[in-house]
Parts: sequence; structure tokens; C-alpha cells
Amino acid sequence: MIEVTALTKLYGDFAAVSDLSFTVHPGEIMGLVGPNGAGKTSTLRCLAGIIPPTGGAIRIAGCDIAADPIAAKRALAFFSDEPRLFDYLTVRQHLEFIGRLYQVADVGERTLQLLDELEMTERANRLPGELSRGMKQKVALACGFLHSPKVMFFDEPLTGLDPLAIRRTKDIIVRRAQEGAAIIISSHLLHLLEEVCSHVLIVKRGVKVALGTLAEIRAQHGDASLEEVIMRLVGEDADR
Amino acid sequence: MSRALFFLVSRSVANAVLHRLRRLKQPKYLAGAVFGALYFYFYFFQFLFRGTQSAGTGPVLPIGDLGVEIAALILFVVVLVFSWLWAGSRAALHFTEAEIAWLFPAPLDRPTLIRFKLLKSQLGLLFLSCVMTLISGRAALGSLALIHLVGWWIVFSTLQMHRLGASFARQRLLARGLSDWKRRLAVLVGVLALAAAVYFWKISTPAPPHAIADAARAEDFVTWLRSFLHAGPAPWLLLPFRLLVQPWFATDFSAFLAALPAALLLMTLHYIWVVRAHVSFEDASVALSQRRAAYLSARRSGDLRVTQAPRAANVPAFRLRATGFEPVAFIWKHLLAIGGRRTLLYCIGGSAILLAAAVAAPAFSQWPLFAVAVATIASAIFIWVTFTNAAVGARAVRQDLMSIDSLKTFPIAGWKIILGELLGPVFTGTALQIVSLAAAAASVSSIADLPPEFHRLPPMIFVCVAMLTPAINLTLMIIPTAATLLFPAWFKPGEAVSGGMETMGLRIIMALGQFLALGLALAPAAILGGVAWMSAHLLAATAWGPLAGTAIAALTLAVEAGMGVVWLGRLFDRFDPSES
Repeated sequence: MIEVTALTKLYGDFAAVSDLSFTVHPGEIMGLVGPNGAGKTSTLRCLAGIIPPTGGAIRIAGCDIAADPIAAKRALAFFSDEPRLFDYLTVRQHLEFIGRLYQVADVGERTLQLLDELEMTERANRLPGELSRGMKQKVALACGFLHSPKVMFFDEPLTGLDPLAIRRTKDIIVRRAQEGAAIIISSHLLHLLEEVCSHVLIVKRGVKVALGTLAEIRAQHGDASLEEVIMRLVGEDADR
Repeated sequence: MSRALFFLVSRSVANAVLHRLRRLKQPKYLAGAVFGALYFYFYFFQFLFRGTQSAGTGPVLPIGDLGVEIAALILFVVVLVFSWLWAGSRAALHFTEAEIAWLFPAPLDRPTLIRFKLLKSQLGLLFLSCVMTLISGRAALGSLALIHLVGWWIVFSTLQMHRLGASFARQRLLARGLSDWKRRLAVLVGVLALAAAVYFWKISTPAPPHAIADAARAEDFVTWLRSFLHAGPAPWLLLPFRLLVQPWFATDFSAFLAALPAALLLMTLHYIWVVRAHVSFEDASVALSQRRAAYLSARRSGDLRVTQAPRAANVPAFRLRATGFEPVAFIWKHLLAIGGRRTLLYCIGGSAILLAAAVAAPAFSQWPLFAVAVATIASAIFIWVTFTNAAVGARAVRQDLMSIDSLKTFPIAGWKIILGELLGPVFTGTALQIVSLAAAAASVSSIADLPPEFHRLPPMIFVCVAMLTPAINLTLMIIPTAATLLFPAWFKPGEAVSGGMETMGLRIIMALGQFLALGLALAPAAILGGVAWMSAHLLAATAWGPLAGTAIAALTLAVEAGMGVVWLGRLFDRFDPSES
């Protein structure tokens, strides 16, 4: 479960995120939407413990990320928009390395499962330089899933993927939620969010402007599509 | 040449200079520029125009007027190897991706593109000539500075045009059916024929001495070399190269002016040769540009390897268990990054050879230079590793900070991540240092001319230094790593290649900080170690005093380094990538 209370992130005098509060329960997928500069990436990075928040509290799977970051991080996985891999580690070696960091006792078995699930078995001994963008994304996914995280954050997970990879990634995300993970996805691809998200949080200039299930939000705006809702709520910021 | 191209070059240079001047507003560049300028002044400029020759800086060999011939011979070999033997057949000019995108489709003919390339490269060659003038004039050049500057420029510029012209010629030869290997074979046969001709011409010349250990033999050698270089076709073969280097060797302006026309004529002939060549260089230039862009991109992201893509996956040096002390995973990763098991085997093999040579040194007592050579090589390795290892560790941290989003989500305390990042280079560096130190100690012990007490000293020094080395290595890494974490905007991976006086100044500041930190860390270690030494000296056998003292000093230093790692870990935990 992800519990966020009054999250604030300041860069000098500029408030990237202001007083943001929400909860994502196990099995839920929340879409984080907003125009460029709305504070989506800052929010995700604070939630994942990458950058310290200026104020507020974040609990990941019951652990306060400020008070007990190690326990909180054991329960989460963060997937950045660009899969950053180590040049000299093969796919399998990436999983070995991450397994040790997360103390995954059955890393060998999990590796085989994940490679099979992501159809990477034949490329297990390849280096990142030999992989396509989509394959690298799969390696990043495998590394993230290795320790069976209860909480996942995806920052633009479909960037640069081909249609087949997009379909598979969406399926994987939904499957993890069905298995009980609490997930937040930040994306500009509204059709993705409509397809996979149970909840939506719309932010504008770091402030929450709408939060609820997809159906609730659409109902509040005359059963409009998500795109129309967003245009109404943040339209004047869209071209900033 | 097109005015547009001249505009491009001149504006690019002017803007680059302005950019460098403007960035001096940032404290880091200003501080770097000040330190860099001071370094240049004290190391080069104050000597440059003083006009006095320091004592003892003359040539070791009495070569006299043979300098021109030797320089010509070196140039001949350089041209032969790099332009005709080694190089491939594709004629490629270095263009940037932007130049290719805009100039290649533009209505410009090939000679114009070549002239543009030559003009642009002159800036780099002039800078290189300045640097070489400073280096070659370190011992005071006085009024010869300008002569050296122009001399260097003529040599570099002509060599560059020759390389280009040769690449065009090679491509034409290939088009006529002469493959790379046939061409190389033909050149080799030609060279061997010339060498044979010179040899037979001077068949009556006495053989060179085996060694040049004393002055008489050195003079013999120079006499032989002179007669060789003046034999048969050798003077004619070397004539163009001699004409090219003659201005550099001029001792006054009148001699310089006398030598200048011939050198300039050679330059002009090369220019005509290159510009009038009608060879298609576009395809190869595009490929070269893409490789160059990938290389620069990798450098900007902190990757200092030559190529972007590794050739093959490396085999881990050891098997990583799934659970256990997490920093071990970073050591495992570091060993993989430097080549894994293959590199480890090479290092073990190289170390075995070095140690075997050191151990075998007493058996070669008839050749005392053998032990000296082994000791010199081993000491050089030790010093090189000592001075570069800290940078390797800091670079590992800096490079992995590029993946800060991943690192920060690992469920590990910051100090463990830092310890793991630094322990890899500490482990490899220390291993190399201990092996080279052991080889140096063993080979020095076998040098017969040293006083007897010195023979007992190296093993003792070896043990003491080996004990201190790991902690010193770790301590030396603290400051550059802290600088990266405290001032992420100052020490970005990409700026490692920006160059210039400011970068040099920043490196000097960093080195001063490192050695200041080491000095501060060594003070308590030296005090405690000294007390232990004296206590052991008073209470037990004399021989154990230095060992006991060093052990205590090493322990103290290790504790201090450990405290430094914990501090770095806290910095890492607080590190906010959004502020970098």
C-alpha cells in the first residue's frame, strides 16, 4: 500500500509538489497525469526515495520511507522512463547483481521464471549494447520484479516501445496488480491510463486537481473522456 | 574558400572563447582557471622567455649536429608506419555530425570541403604547437620560442596533410586492385630493399657497440650512427624530412629564415597534393563521424573506454552468492567491468612474470642492469597505480551516479553502496601495488652495488608499505568522492573531457585536497604508530619495532578511512539528484 500525506517538494522557492495526499491500495493501479512541469516525476522520485521530500509523510507497505528507508525500499520498485543498465553486465548478471542487493535467496529460480515470462531466455547472456530499446526495457522490468515488490512506480513505461512490447508491458503491469501490488503509473498516454488504471490523480503545478476512480472522475465531468477531463482541468497549462 | 565556411570557423572559435570566458562567472571555473594559470606560469612561462639555459640540461649523448638527421629519421618512420603501413584504405576526413548534416548536402565541391577541414584543423595544430613549444622550452628558450612554435606548426601541419594525402592515395590504389595487405607488403619490401642498400653501402662500417654505458662508447655509437645516416641513399631519402625539421633546429633568426622556404615549399606541395585529389571520402567520413559521436557521447556520460559497445560479455571473477554482505556485489560488478576473469588472469600472469623476473635477478649478476630494470618497472607500476587509483574509485561513483534513480531505490544503507563502489578499485589497486612492491623489493635486494644494510631494508619496507597501502588507497578516494557528492554540479562526468586551463586547475585543487586529507589522516596514524614503534623498540626485539608501529598506523588509518566512508554514506543518503 502507498500512503502519501501532505507531500511537498520545493526547489528553492519553487514548489514542484504541494500538499499532495492520496492512498493506493494493493491491487490498485493509479495513473498520475498532468502537463509537463506538473510535478509528476518529482512526486514519483520522492515516493521511491530517490529525492527527499521537503515536507509530508510517505509510507510504503507500512514503512515510513523517511524513518526506515531500507525497509520501505525493500518493498518497492521504480522503473524510470529510460532503462539505465550497466554496460558490462549481461542480462543474467544484472539479475544476479540486483538479487544480491535485495538479498533474494532464490535468485536463480526467479531469474529463470522472469527470463521466461519476458521471453528473454535466449538473450540472457547478452550485454546491453547488443539489445534493442524494448529488450533493455524488459531487462529493467525483470530487475524490478526480481524481489517481488509490493509497490511499483512506473515513469512513462511505454516510451520508445514497439506496439508488441507496449501490449506485453501493459499486460505485465495489470498482472502484477492482480497479484496484489499497489502501482502508480505516470504517463502522457491517456489511452494507456484508461486501459489499465483503476484510479487517476490529476496534478497541475504540483497541486492535486482531481483524484478518484476513472468512473468517478468521468462522472464528475458529465461522462467526458479522460482526455476531455484533463483538457478542462489543466488545459491552460498544456502548452506551457 | 567559401566565405560562409570561413564565417563558420571564425564564429565558432570566437563563440567558444566567449563561452569559456563567460563561464568564469561560475566559482568552480574561476577557481580552476586561477589555479591552472598559476600552474602554467610557474611550470612553463616563467622559464620560457628567461633566456638562460639551465645547467645539466644538455643532451646525454654528444649528438652535435646529428639532431636534424635523427629527427628526420623519426619523421620518416612515423610517416612510413602511420600513413603507409598501419593505416587502412578508406579515405576519411573527421567531420562532426552537424558538419555532415549541413555541409555535405550543401552546394560545395570536394576541394572546398577539404580546404575547410584543413583550415579548421589549423587551430588544433597551433594549440598543439604551443603546448609542444612550452614543453620543449621548459629549460628556457628565450628568443627561440617563436622559432620552435613555427617549427612545430610546420611539422604537424605537413604531417597532417601527408596523412590525408596518403589516405587518398591508398584509396586510389585499392580502387586499382591493390589490397591493403599487398600494399603493406610492397611498402615493407621497399623499405627492406632501401635498408639493405644502406647496409651494403656501409658494409665496412664497424658494428655498433653493445652498450653505451660510458662516454667513449657513446661517442663511438654517435660516430657509427652518423656514418650510417650519411651512407648511400640515406641522405637523399631523408632529405625532405630534414628540410621539414630544419627550421625547428635553427639557432637564430637568420638560420631560421634560411631554412623556412624549403619547408614551406614542402608544405605547399602537400597542400596541392591533398586539395587536387579527386577521391570520394564522403561514405567513410559519415561512418567515422558516427563512431566519433558515439565515442564522445560515451565520454560525456562518464564512460572513458574507447568504444561504446563492449566486444563480448565478461566472465565474472567469482561467483556472487544471492545473500550476504551487499558491498561484495559492487566489487563483483567492478571486476566484471574491468574485464572479469580474463583481466584477472592477465594480471595474475603479468604479476607472475614480474615476480619471477625479480626473484631471478640474482642469477643475472653479470648483467646488473637487469635488476635495475625490473626494479624500475615495478616501481613505475606502483607509483602509477598509487596516483591513478583514487581517480578510478571516484569515477566509479560518479559514473554510477548517472543511474542514481536505481541506486537510490536499493534497500541498502548509503555507506554500503559507497564502500562497495570504492572497495573494487581499492582491491584491484592494492593487489597491483603489493605485487609491484614485492618485485621492486626483491630486485633491489639483488643489486650488488648497494650497501649491505640496504639489502635488509627493502623486505622490511615492502611489508610496512603493503600494510599501509589499502587504507591509504581508501583515504585517497574520500576527497574526490566527497567532492562529487557535495558539489555534483562541479564534478559532472561529461566535464571530465572538456579540457582547458580551468579543468587542469580543478584537477590541481582536487589533488591538493586529496593530499591534504591524506596528510591529516596520516598525522594521528603516525603519532600512534610512532608510539607503538618506540614501545616495541624498548620492550622487544628491534626488528619488530617498525612492523608493530606500521600495524598500529595502518589500523588507525583504516579506522579513519572507515569513518570517511560512513560520512560519504550520509552524504549519499542526503544526495538530491535534482540539485545536480
